[in-house]
Amino acid sequence: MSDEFFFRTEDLRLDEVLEYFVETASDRKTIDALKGRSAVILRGSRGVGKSFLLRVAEAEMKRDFDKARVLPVYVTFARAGLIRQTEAGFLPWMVAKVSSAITRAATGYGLHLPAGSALALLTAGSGQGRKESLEQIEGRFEEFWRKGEEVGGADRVPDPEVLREAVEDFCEELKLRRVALLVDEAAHVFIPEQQRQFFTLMRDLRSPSLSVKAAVYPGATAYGESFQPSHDAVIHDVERPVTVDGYAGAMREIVLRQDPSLEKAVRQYGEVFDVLAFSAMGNPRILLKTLARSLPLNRSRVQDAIREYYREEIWAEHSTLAERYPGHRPLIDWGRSFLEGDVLPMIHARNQRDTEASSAIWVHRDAPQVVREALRLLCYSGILQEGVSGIRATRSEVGTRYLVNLGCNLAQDAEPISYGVRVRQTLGVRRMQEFGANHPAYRGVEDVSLETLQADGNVALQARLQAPISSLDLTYFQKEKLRQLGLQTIGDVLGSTEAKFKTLHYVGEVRARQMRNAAITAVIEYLSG
Amino acid sequence: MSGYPIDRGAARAQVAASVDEHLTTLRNASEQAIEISLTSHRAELGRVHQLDLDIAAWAVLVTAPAGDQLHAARKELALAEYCVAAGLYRQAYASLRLFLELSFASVHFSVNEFERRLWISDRLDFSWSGALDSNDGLLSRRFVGEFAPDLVGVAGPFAKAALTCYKHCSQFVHGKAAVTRNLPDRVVYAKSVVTDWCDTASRAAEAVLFLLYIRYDQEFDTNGTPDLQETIIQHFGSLAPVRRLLGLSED
Repeated sequence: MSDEFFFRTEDLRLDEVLEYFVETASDRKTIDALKGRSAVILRGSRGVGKSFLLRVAEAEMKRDFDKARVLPVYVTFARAGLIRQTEAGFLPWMVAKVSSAITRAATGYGLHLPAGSALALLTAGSGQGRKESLEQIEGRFEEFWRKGEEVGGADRVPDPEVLREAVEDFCEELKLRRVALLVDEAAHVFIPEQQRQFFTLMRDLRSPSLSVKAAVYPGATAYGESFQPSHDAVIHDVERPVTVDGYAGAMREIVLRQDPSLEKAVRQYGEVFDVLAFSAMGNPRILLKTLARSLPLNRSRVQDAIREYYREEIWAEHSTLAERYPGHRPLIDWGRSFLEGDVLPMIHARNQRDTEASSAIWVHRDAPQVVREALRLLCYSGILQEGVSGIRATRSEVGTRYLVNLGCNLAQDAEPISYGVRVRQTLGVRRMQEFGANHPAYRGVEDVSLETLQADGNVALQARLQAPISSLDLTYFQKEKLRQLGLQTIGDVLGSTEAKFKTLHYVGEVRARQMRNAAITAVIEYLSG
Repeated sequence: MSGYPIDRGAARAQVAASVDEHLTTLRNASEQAIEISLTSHRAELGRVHQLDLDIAAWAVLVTAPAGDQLHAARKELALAEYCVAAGLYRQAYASLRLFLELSFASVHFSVNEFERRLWISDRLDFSWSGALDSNDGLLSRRFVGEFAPDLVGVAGPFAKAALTCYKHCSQFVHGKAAVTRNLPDRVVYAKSVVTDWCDTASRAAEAVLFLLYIRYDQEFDTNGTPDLQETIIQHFGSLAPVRRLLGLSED
């Protein structure tokens, strides 16, 4: 049933992942690289399946562990946006997280038994006290409402070199070939400083015993001084080209693995389904979302779903970024109007005239840097897909080709299915709409300073902390109680203590906890939403 | 006494030697079973260790006496593991059942202080079926609705898992032929039994962890305590309501 589609990898347990995996040639290549010795950067927009590929690689390594002796360790940095700014930066948090994850994996594979385990206690006595774990230190870094204070216990977190050497000893002792560290959401796309620190760590951890694989969004390009992307890692773009043989079949298979009862409908409306799959450009999450809205499957529902998602929702998601990252607003807004006002109408008009359809643009390499940044943000949202750079266009000028989201292209037409069938049959990836170094469409964004973007990292966090307590999911009574304490903003609530809440009448342990949790949840949901 | 066939001292020594010999033989058989079990089931046992540590992360925050009871339960789980590795299979299931019983009793009594006192003074027995009553027992809609209302819709499978595991272990405790005929008749490694035990233990421990999450989530500030949070993400992160509660990405 449609309400049971798994839109996200997190919906699946590790032991279920292989059941839902539909292998394509490019996916296999990526997974083999993830299992291999070299460092890998896995790049792709939201929903394209980066986490899924990491999990498939992990599941296969788990399955083959006894023979291959490669220990997979999966860790996500999804909460990196919450990390408070300290002098030590982001590094101790990352190292603590990686160390805990390796320990956890070693325990889970039966390679190591921590002192606190019950089996150890059977011979070593009670020892029930709570010891400080690296996870607790991570927690202090995640206390994002504390500004400028030092993080207690941070000095207990090892340096990257110490961690690397410890992993080398660990592998030697346990006869492991290596540890494959799979880092999901490795570098926050809107916080360049965190990106720099992550890639520096990735380089510092590099060793024959520790191979780092990092999933990043296309916008994460602040590599820092020591990391050179082409030398220090192999970059794999997660893409499933719509023009290769087998694309439609693989997309059908992805759906049918999740819901075999749709087979009849998919066969009956084969052409319609294939246009929907073509629109999704190999992005399983978008395919499943738009399909869920098209059920029971028929032509008119699919047309409505394409229009609704690609004309409105995908843009709404892109524009929401501007609210959370106000420093990027001019670029986000310009990117949208560039696509909606220039690119999409041009491509649509061109496809009405030409026999060979197109859905690509080419941008001159000397186009303003801000334009390229704006295009990167469109790649993050999946509206553009960066293709080959350094290719020649008219008059032998050099630039980069971007594939424009096919769903957005098809949604331009009053009849997306008929238009989609035609585009699908005649799409030429080399045909592109060109934008030179000084195209008039760049006016209005050229003067935006890139410096404002550098500082955007925790602006979203700071903005949220400044939000009034009226936005908290609390009862009127609880909000009134907070006001009685003189707390005005979410940051004030987080900076206060439950003990202080409990000094109020009718506020006990449970209410105090609820009041504080509401503030934490409000920030986390806002940043990860 | 005249006519006694052999020297009594020598007879005693022979009996003692025979006991020593048999126990040593048993110990050797157990050692061999442990060696093979570890080689063949390392990751399955590792999963049980990790679950035990995840339960411990909660148990250390639970105050006595409920906390002490949880630690006693964990030790039963460890003993059960020792038994299964050593080829003492029936005992392994018996201890696993006690682990379930003590863990659930700990939570049950944490919300029923009067019953705890009666239980301590031996005037009340802990009733497993009563504690998991579908109307108002642990993990019932009513219970979950009170402690973690957002998780009412996902608690059912964990209640079912606890009941199924308990029933399965009970069959070994009561010597039911349906399960005991699969047990070896001496102390020797049996692959299918170890696999089954590891699977049952993992499901049982996961049910206990989920119960602790329900009972203590609000009390312990899971969102602000990464070691608790990690236990939840690792085991229940595939459940959408759990991700929502933790503020993780959601469509």
